[in-house]
Formats: sequence, structure tokens, C-alpha cells
Amino acid sequence: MNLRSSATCVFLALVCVGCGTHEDYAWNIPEGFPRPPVPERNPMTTAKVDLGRHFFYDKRLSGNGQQACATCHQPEHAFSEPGARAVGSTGGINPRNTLALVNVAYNDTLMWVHPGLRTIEQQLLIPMFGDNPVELGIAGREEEVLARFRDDPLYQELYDDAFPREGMLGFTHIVDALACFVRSLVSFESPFDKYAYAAQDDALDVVALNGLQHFFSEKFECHHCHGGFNFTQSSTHDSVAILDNAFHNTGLYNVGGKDAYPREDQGLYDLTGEPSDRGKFRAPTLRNVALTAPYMHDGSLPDLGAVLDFYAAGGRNVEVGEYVGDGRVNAYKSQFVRGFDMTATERTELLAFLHALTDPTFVARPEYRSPFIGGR
Amino acid sequence: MTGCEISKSAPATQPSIPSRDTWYPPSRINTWLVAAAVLALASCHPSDPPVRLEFEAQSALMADYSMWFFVSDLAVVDADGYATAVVLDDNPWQDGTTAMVALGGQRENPVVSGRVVNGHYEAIEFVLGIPFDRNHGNPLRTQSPLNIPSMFWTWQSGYKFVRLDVGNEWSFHLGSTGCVSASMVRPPGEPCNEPNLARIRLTRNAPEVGTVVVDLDALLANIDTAVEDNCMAAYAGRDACRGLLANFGLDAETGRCRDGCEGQTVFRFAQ
Repeated sequence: MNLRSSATCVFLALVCVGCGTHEDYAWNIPEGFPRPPVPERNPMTTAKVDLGRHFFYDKRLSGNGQQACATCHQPEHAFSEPGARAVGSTGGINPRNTLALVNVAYNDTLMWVHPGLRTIEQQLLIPMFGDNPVELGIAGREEEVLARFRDDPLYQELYDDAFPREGMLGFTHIVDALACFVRSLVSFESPFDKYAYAAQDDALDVVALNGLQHFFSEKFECHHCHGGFNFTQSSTHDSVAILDNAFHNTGLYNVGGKDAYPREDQGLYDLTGEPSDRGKFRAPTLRNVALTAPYMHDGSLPDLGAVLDFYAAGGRNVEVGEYVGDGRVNAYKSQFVRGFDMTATERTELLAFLHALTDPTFVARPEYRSPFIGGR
Repeated sequence: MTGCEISKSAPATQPSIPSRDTWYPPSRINTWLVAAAVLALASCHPSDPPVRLEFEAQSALMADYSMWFFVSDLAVVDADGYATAVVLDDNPWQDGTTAMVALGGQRENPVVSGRVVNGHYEAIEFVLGIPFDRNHGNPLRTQSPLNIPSMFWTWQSGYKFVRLDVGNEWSFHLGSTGCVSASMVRPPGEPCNEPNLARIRLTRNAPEVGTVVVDLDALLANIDTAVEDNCMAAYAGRDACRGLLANFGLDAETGRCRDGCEGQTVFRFAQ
């Protein structure tokens, strides 16, 4: 089938030179890395990615004009933010930490925990229209928001390029364009990638290389959940057909000694009602993780050192406040979070390895940055 | 002679094929079997008789478990000891020579299916795991089922051949150990010291279609999963892990079959 579609493409390219309508997007994916799956109904095009980038950075996409996607998903933080919990356009506090947008195109499921959510197009409806919490807060102000873009000559031009002959701009177009932009945010040029996949032996220094050995060892167990080429089990690509369950309780809480997480957010349990799903969240990618502090689903660990100490302890004993309880003995904790003895040297080496997952080209790439001079 | 008969191997007793208890290094037999599979693919007719093995986990002691394992180089053996490679059907759970079986847990795939040239066979043979020449490839370039992240350790160690998770408390992950390379993300140049590849042989008349019992209680005989630590590396260092490998017929000290893995107690044809 691939052969046939390649042949068709070549044929179409030959007869269509100058037509300008075929898919034309060039991925920032180095040779050898697989492509992400792309929904058939929303193929990648340069024009859609560019239109999506404008929406992503434009505060007029929120109901009250106060926030853009980029307000929380900041490019210098690998499209996350330094705050522990996201704050929506109307001031509501989201119980969760803003996830980085790194190789999201490869995610098998999206958000911190949402097993049914498989495409970015579906996911985008939550921040755009959701009311608990309100994020962009478009619900109830749909026509007003659309009018802002329909009346803007810049968007008229971008829209005509991205969706020729499709009539008036609607939310389907906005969602599709945003999904193309988010899908375009790929990162495979960290020092680790150069060492592992480009076979550059000098891409990691000895400290980071020792950290790599720890990371993949049975002693530290990191790679059981943060495995695969995206350092998360919930990662897929265009030839992956089978995936395992990738939601885990890490022992962050054990409220009241009852194996519970804080009532406002119990992870997978809130969707399934299964007691054993309490506190289970998706293992996020570790690519660019040094840029995305604070950590965990609620941003309750301030830095990577704290995360390493947390896993060394095999969870967290909360000793004060309303969430008192020893997460280390949470009955639903993943059996891979058992704690380990970590010397100061090993800690330094693991930190160096995690920093070697930072891709400097990812945060610097102009086509990922705001198209508006001085912000909008 | 039909074209398909080209894919038949010599009897296992001939020197061209390593004998069963010293059958490693696998690169030799695997290259051979892959070639056989390709030949069979090229020359066999799609109307060849089907091979269909349905794996069925049995345990009186456990309810909550998930058992995933790889089956490679499946072959049928006739009365003269000639092995004929089975060409596996093309689906997400199996490529031409390796299948993944998933029992218990959220996603199940109990069936290994393929085709083999018509004949009278008296046994099946397969390798439990991924032979060396396919165990350490670039994980970015592998196809299903060899690209399941939770079944892959590292470039150095390769795949988890068997992944048994019992409840949320205990795991047995079997794979090669003693693999030497410059780092975890470099493939070894030489076969691993302990390949831990069991070669399973199950005898029955007309074995190409049948139910294979995976006896988890036999595998876990003498293991208290509530007390015992996980077995995921350094198997030879602990009695419990040595016992698990022995139940697959493996000698944990050498990482090779003991007496041709004849002593394995986990797999058998259902009556």
C-alpha cells in the first residue's frame, strides 16, 4: 500500500507541478526517526501549520481576549510554564500543571490522564470550550471570537492559503490548523539523540553518560515507565500497532492513609471509578524536561533534584497540611516505584543525563515562535 | 519436488544445524530460518494448510496477571526430525518470524497463526524470545510487534522475551543478560553471555493446529510473589530467579538450555 501511494504521489507530483494543492509539509524530523501518525482527514500542510501558529499565539482566541494558548504553553519552557498550576483566562485555577508540548504528535493518549482522547483535534476542544475549569473560555462567545478573525485581513489571507474554497472560517478550521501546528512541534536534536541515534560518541560527556547508564538500569527503574524513543510508554508512531497501559500511581499521595489522592484530582479513577485507578496519571515525555519545572501532575515538586529524591524515597510522605499521609505505602503505587539508594555522584550524573535531553534547536526554532512582533 | 520443500531443514542431528542443547549462537540458525521463511514465502502457495496455535494461560492461584511473550522461529517437525519453518501471517501481533502473545491484562492476543507446506508433523518448535540477530536492532526502525515500548529494554539488552506482571506487586521479566557494549544505547557486537533463549519443543500428532497451555502455576512453583522480590536481571544470583528460568528449561548460570530445554514445565499441548 505504501508503495502504491508513493507511486501515486510521484504520479500526482508529475502531473500536478504548479497546482499547489498537494500536501507540502516538511517535518523537522532527522533521518531515521519515524513519522507520527496523522489523521487522514487533517493532513499536514505548511499553510495550515502557519495559520495554526497564528491562532496559538493570538489572545483573541480566548473569549475575553486575555489569553492565548501560548500564555500557558510558553516556547522557552518547551511549551509549558513555570507555575505549579495553570490559571485560565477568567482566573480559574486548573488542578493540574501545564504539560509541555513536545512530540505530542506521537502521544497515544493526551493530557495527564484521558485514555479515550486519541487526537489533538479532540483534545483542543477542552481548553477552547471547557468550563471546568475555564481555560480559553470560548463557550458562549463563539460568534464574537470567529468575527475577530473573519474580519482580520491577515487571517483572511492565511485562511485562504490553508483552506482554499472552504467558505467561511469556522471552529473546525481553527481546530485543524492548531492541531497541525501542535503536531509540528517535534524535538529530536538533543545531545542524547546525537549520542544514541546519530552515533556521535562525544555528544555526551562522561558524567551524562554515567547518568544514562543509571537511567536505563534495573536499579533505578526509570525506563520502565519513561521508555521508548520519547521516554514515555504512551508514545506511538506510524508503524506502532500495539501499546500497553501507560498510567501509573507514583506514590505522591496517600491522603488519610486511605490510598487516596486529593479529592480534586484522583487521576484515572475520576474517569473509571475503579479504586485501583486512584492516583494514576500518564507518564509524560522526558524530552526537554529540564525546561519544564515544576513537576508531577500538580506541579508539587519544584525541580529535577526533588523528583530524583522523590523516586529514591519510593514516594512521598506528606507530613503537614490537608493531604497528610504516606504516599510511599499507597496500595495502588506502581511496583516500579520501590525506592533506591542513590549516592551524591549518581544523583549528579542522573541530573546531567536529564539535562542532556534538552534540545536547544527546539526552543530556538523561529517557526515554533510567535509570528507577532511584540506579542499579541 | 515442489518449490515449498526447499524450505525444509536438515534433521536436527546433522552437523549443519547446531544440536539442540548447544544451538546457540543463534545468528547461524536464525539467518538460516529467515532465509527459509523468505523462500517459503516466495514459493509456497497461499492455499497451504494453516497453522494456528492458541495459547491459553492456566492458573488456579492467580487471577490478576498479564503475561506477554515473544515466539520466534516457529517450525513444525516431521517423524524424521526435519524442521519446516512456519511463515507467520501478517498482522500487528506478528511479523514474518516473530509473534507476540499477550494473555491476561487489558489487551490479549492468544493466537499465533501462519501457514506451512502440507505434511505429516509430530512436533512444533519455537524460540521463546528474540534471537540475537534481531534482538538489538535500532528501535526506531523496527516494525510491529517489535516496536512495543514496554517490551523493549535497551539497545544493549534487547527485548523482554517474557513479561509477567502479577497484580501490582511482582514482576518477572526475562531477557538476555551479560550483553557487552559501550553503553546502554549501543548494540553488543557479540552474542550476550546469557542469551536466555529457551527453545521449546512440544510433541503431538498433527501439532500445527491446537491449544497450547501456558501453565503459570508451574512457572511460579516455589515462588511466593507476595514476598519474593522481582526477577528482572541477574537471574543466577537468586534461587527464586534460577528456579523460574529452570521452569523454562534454562540454566541461569549459562543462560542456555539445559538438556535441550526438555525439562521445561510451562508449555504443553492441551489434551
